[in-house]
Amino acid sequence: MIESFLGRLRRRLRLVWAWATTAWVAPVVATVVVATVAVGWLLPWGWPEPAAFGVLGVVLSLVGVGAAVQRLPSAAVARAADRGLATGDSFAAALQFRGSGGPFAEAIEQRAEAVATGADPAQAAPFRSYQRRWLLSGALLTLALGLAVAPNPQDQVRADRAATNELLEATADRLDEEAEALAESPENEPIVDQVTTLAQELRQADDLAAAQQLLDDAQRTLASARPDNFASQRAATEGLDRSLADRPLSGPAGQQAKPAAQQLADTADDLGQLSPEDQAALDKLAERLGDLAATQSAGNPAVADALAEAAAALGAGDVAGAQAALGEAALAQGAAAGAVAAQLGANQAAGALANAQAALGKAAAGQGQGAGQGQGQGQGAGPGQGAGQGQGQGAGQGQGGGGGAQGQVSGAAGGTGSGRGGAGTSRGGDQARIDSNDGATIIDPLSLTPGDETSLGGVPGGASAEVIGQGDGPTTAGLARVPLAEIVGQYADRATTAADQQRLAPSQRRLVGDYFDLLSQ
Amino acid sequence: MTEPTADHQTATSGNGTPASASAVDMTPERCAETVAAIEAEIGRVIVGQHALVKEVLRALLAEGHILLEGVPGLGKTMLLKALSESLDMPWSRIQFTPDLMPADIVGTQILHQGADGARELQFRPGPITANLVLADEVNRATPKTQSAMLEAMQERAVTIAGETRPLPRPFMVMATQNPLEMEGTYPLPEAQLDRFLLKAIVPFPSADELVTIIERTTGSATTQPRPVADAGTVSAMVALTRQVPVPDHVVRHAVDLVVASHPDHEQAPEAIRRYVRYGASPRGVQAMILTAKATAIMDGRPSVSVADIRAAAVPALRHRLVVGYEATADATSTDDLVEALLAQVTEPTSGIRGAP
Repeated sequence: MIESFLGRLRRRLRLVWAWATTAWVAPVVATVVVATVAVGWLLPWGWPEPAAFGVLGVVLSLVGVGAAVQRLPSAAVARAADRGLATGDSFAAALQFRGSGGPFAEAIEQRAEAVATGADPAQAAPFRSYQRRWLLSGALLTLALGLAVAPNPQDQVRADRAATNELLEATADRLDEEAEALAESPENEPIVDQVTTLAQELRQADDLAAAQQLLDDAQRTLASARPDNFASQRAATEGLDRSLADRPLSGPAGQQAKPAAQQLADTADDLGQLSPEDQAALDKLAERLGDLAATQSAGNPAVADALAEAAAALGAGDVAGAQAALGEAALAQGAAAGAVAAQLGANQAAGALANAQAALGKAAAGQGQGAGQGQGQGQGAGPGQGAGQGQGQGAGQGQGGGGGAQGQVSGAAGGTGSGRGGAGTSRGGDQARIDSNDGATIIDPLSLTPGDETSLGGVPGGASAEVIGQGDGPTTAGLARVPLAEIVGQYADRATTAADQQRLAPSQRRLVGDYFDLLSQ
Repeated sequence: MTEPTADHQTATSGNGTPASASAVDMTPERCAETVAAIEAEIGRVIVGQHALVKEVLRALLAEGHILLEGVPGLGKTMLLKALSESLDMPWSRIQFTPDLMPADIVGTQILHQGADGARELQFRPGPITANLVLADEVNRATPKTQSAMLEAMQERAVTIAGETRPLPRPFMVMATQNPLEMEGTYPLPEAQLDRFLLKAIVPFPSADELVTIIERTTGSATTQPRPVADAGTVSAMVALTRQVPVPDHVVRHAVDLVVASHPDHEQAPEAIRRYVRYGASPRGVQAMILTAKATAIMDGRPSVSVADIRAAAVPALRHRLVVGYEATADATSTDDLVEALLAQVTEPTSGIRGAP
């Protein structure tokens, strides 16, 4: 009976210990909770409120575990029973002198048995009220709950931050998808790594500005890696493929779908089978190779040189030399095709970055709406494109648009921040050139009068300018006669350079790039 | 040399541990019953003073000596006489005076001439040779005489002419001090006080009790207590009292109280630090434990509790604290200091948070 009662009392004492410990730590914990929630009012951190109530859960869990594992010696339990039931130390004496013999041992045991019979552990170890502690703790927790529920000046900041993180995550996901698509082509392996790394960095970016900076840097890196003559190289390489597909060097047209490099290699092999009596065929082949060399001179000079050398060798009857030259041409063409494919992957990645940049820019503009100031300026004549730049103050980013002669972005003042001017389209006027900030020139052929010189890359007539022809006006045949295949590469390069210098929106830069890509095809 | 006052009876019931049939059969229940009977018989003579009677009985069961402090006329002598009669044991009363000599207490050798004319030295025991001794106004004797009696109290034997003679058992001295008329007295030194198991304050009776006292003492009827025990029974009760078990935490609590009575101890309360020069000696712990054992067995309980210790603290420690002049100046009694001690050293708890 004694052991049974003490066992029940031991379980009761664990609850009493938990209750008392909770009451003991409650004011401290409640104070910590209030302080933590208050931090959420002062700083735009997202963790204070969850952490504050997490502390509560952790403390309660620890108390529960502590009560479960608390070591309660029998002597302590007996002492609690003696004090709680005012037994005159009956249980303690019974535990200590059990089996010790003597004239009092049996009486001690019987007395403890009598006390244990019908004794209630709850009476021996009642829950104390700890009224003041609970009142204080309750008041503090109520205050903490109120602070957590009440509208918080930092809520909007946290919501914006969450939206930003979500946007960055979505943007990073799209970049990952793009990387997966690019990974299908082995030439894109370096680009895939770049895009994947960028996606990871975006996920860890602190804010939109940092993310945009990352995207800017990545785009700049891609742009710097792009060959200056990519458009002409691509036009030449793909043009050679199409030309040889339409008119194979050997065999009927359309029957051979082999790429140009393969055809050149096959032709080199076939040359060994021709006899000197086939001079007519050799001459014809030489002429064809010469024509092809002419088409490759601008964009693919290595292939052009090899083809020209092969044509010359054939014309001289040097079949072996022609074979060697054709082999070199095949290798050069293969290399050029690979480079073009890799660059196309880079272009695709750049497009994805541009889209991501646009999405972030749009989100940034949305965040800065009504809280930024900006100014944009643009000048233009006739159809064209203008760019606006703005500097703003405010907690966000402003968006500016150039319209007509001048674009302006405005927003309500508030705080201090940075604004970014947007791009606008300007029309009107009778000036043929739109002067941009960096002096790049975009030619409007329709505005040229017969005899006007057109130049690229600087101020007309300046040292850095390059005359590329003369305008012949809208309806008049011009004096310049330059094959498109020869000049389109330069056009594309200049346009790309100008577009980069103009700081156009990525989507617009991509539009310019796509235009010249299509033109070169 | 002044002879001790009358009522001196020599011991007749033993010279060591008297054997008695009742001693063999003594049980806790019988002990409690006997104590209750003794208390009842004393109550037939002594009006009120229940706490004092219990203190005396505790000292008897613990075989200790008790120092009573109270003004004359409160029934101290009658209490000892009633106790003696209820126990059927010889008792003596020694009225201490300044000219009382040690031999007047412990006894002496006299030259005796027999019928045949032969002379020999015979030992004539002093009044100390009794089971119950009332040393009245012990602070009026000189320190030399006090020392002789207190030595006999401690040793439970007297030494005369190089021969040690044990005193009868049980042996209890009930000394009294008059808190008034301190002029020309020799207050007992601390070392002597330490030999008293308890010090009890004899309170003045209440008005109702006083009425009863007057009725009993001014009439013709006299009441005599009936003997309900003897020396053998008391010795058996004393032996049984010593066997009452004391749990460890109870002993520890008694020790804590005593060590905290020392002003240089970290647990000493502020009042102790301020007023006490020397705390209680280890005899203080012994006194508390023995008194607590007696309390338990008188209450019919088979073991000592913390409450018994705390109840014994004041009578066992009040005369063992050596206080400084500051206590006298601030009218702080040793009872106040022991109460402060009890307030400081609380009952041992279970040590479990939230539990009693």
